[in-house]
Order: sequence, then C-alpha cells, then structure tokens
Amino acid sequence: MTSLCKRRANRRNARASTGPRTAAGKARAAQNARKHGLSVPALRDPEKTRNIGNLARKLAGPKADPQRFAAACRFVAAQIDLLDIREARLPLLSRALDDRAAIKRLHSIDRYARYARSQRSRAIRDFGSARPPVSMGIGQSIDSDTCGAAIDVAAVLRKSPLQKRRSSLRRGIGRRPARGTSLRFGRRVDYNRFCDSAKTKPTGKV
Amino acid sequence: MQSPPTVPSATDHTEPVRRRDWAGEPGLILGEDAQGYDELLAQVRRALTPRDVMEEMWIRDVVDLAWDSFRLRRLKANLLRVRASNAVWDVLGPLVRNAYDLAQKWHARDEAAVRTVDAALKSAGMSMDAVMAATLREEIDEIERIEAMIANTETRRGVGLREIERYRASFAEKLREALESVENSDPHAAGIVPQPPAEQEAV
Repeated sequence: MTSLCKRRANRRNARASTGPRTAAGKARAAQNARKHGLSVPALRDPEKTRNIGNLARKLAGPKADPQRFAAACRFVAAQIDLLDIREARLPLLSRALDDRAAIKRLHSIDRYARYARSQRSRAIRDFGSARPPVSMGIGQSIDSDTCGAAIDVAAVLRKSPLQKRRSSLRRGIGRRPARGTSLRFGRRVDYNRFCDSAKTKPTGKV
Repeated sequence: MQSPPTVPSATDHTEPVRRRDWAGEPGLILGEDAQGYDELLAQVRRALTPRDVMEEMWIRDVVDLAWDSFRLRRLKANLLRVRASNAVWDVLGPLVRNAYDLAQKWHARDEAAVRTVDAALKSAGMSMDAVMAATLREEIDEIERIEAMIANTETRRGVGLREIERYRASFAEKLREALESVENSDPHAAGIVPQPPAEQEAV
C-alpha cells in the first residue's frame, strides 16, 4: 500500500504539473483535440452567426416569416459549412500525391460535406415551402422578431412542424417489426400463427 | 478618342464569377488551369441560365463537382504513375542486379534504363502490365478511397442537377397556382380587365 508520505508527495508533484496556467496557454491547450473544426456547424460558431443572420436577412427579405427566416439561416449556415469544407480540402489535394495520410483525410472529410449538403437541401425545401415575404392577399407577412441584430440559434435549430412530420413519417417507415411479424400493406401480420414450431419453444434436447 | 470600357450586362453568363459570393471562390489548387475552370463554368451557365441566387449556387456546385471529378481522376492516374518506380523495383528485384538504381533511372525516363527494364521484363515473359498490377496492389487502399470519392462526387453532381430541376418545377407550379388564383378571382378587381370609365357627371 502506498504510504501517506508518498501520497502527499504525489499530490504535490501533480499540483506542480497540471497543465497550462496563462490564458494564452489555456487557449492553446483548449484546441489540442481540434483536427479541422469541420464537425462544428457554422450555427454553433458565435463569430459566424452574425454573418449568417445578415445573409439570411438578405435572402429571406426584411419582412420575412420567422419560419422562412429560420430556413434561410439554416441554408446560409450549411452553405458556409460547405465553403469551409472546400477550403479545408484544397491543401490536402495539393499534397495528395506525396502524402498517403492526405488521401485518407480527404476521404474522411467527405462525410462532413455529405451532411452539410443534406442540411442545405432540407433548408432549401423548408425555405421554399415557407410563406414568401410578400403575400398576395392570402395572409399578412409579419415583421419577424428574429430579424434583429443577432439570431436566435436555438430557434433556428428547432425543428419546424414540417420537419417534425417528416421525421415522424421516416420513423414510422423505418420501424422494425417485432420478431415473427411483418408489416404487409400497412397491417401487422403475425407469421408465428402459421407456424406450429413457433408455438413450442425449442429445448435443444433430443 | 478612347472608347468607353465595356460593362458586362447582367445577363452575360460568360462572365466568370471570381468574387467571394454565395458559391465561394473557385477551388483551384496550384498548377490547375483557371481558364479551363472559367470555360467550364461559362458553358454550364450558358446551358442552364441561372435565374436567382439559388440556381447560381447549384450551378457553381455542379461545376465544382465536375472539376473535382476530373481532378480526382487525374490524381488516380498520377498516383499510379508516380508510385510505379517502387513496383519496377519489386518486379525486377529477382531478375536483375541493382534493381533499385535501375528503377530510379527508369522513373527519370533514362533511355538506356527504359530499354533495360523492357528487355528484362520481356525475358521473364512480362510486360508493363505486371508493373501496373504491382503498383495497384501496393496502392489499392488509396485507389479505393479515390474511387469512392469520385463516385460520391458524381452522385452529388446528379443530385445537384435534379435539385435545380425540382426547384424550377416548384417555381413553375407556384407561378401557375398564382395565375390560376388570379384568373378565378374577379377579373375587374385583379386588374386584368380595365375598369369602364366612370360616367362624368353633367355639369
């Protein structure tokens, strides 16, 4: 068993080497695990959020519906993500001939592009289905509170009713039926009742 | 007299887009032909004629993906060519002495070395196909990754074109609905039929 004296010495030594102390050192160490930063979407980056808000406002129009504005924000954020990914790929492509790791990295970056593209497509669909800024007598376009200087990221990332419906439909389609049953023409059919062996549990003994 | 500078019109689709806009700057790496990229972009823009910022963005996407596909194909071919010297060394190892030096000279396209390599391969009943097969065996992981990236790029290009098609179809549908709603409403109120002039009151 470790003696008390040794334990104290260990604690003392550990206290003497507990990472960076200055603010600059802490800031640098905070980025130790960062590889390319592409897994963090633009909407989570406070520096980019203001830019996203301005661009989305231009795209959606000053009197846009909040739903349309949120879709525009998601669209702009996904587009910024794609541009970042494109910029991250270029140096890797330049040294792909000499560096095997660069090809591997390029391949792994591809999945971020796939995600950003799917986000952008979804945002465009929502943007198209949301009410246009100038209504033709059908409804009244409203001044959006989210069109202020800063955007409400939580509101932008919140799923719209259309998205919720879409995801619930997808869940319904992808739901796995219970063992021995199958979804056929929308009705659950229990195939176990057609099979005598299913009624008796196999014991494994002969 | 100096002629005034020509200003490209808004509908001039041959004008290359080089500014940092929605679609970003063209992603070119060192040694790539910027003029070739611009020509490709101009051709696609002429064919698809973008109408708004969304379509402009998709077009840039499609062009970038096409460019990326060409680039990845080139990368694959160059990778096989660059790494072939290692395969020459592998294949010639049991056949000749100083196979490494010979492979290096062959890589530098030294004529005598090229002739020696060809003769050595022929004497063993092989050809450059054997060298390329050995290169492929060595680089199969990289080649597989590049192939996967090419496949992804081509799929995305197809998706991009379909999105433009869908976007235009939905726009056309919305336009038709708007026109139908206007047609079904009171033609006088909609302003389609001019109002009859009000009778002037007798003074």
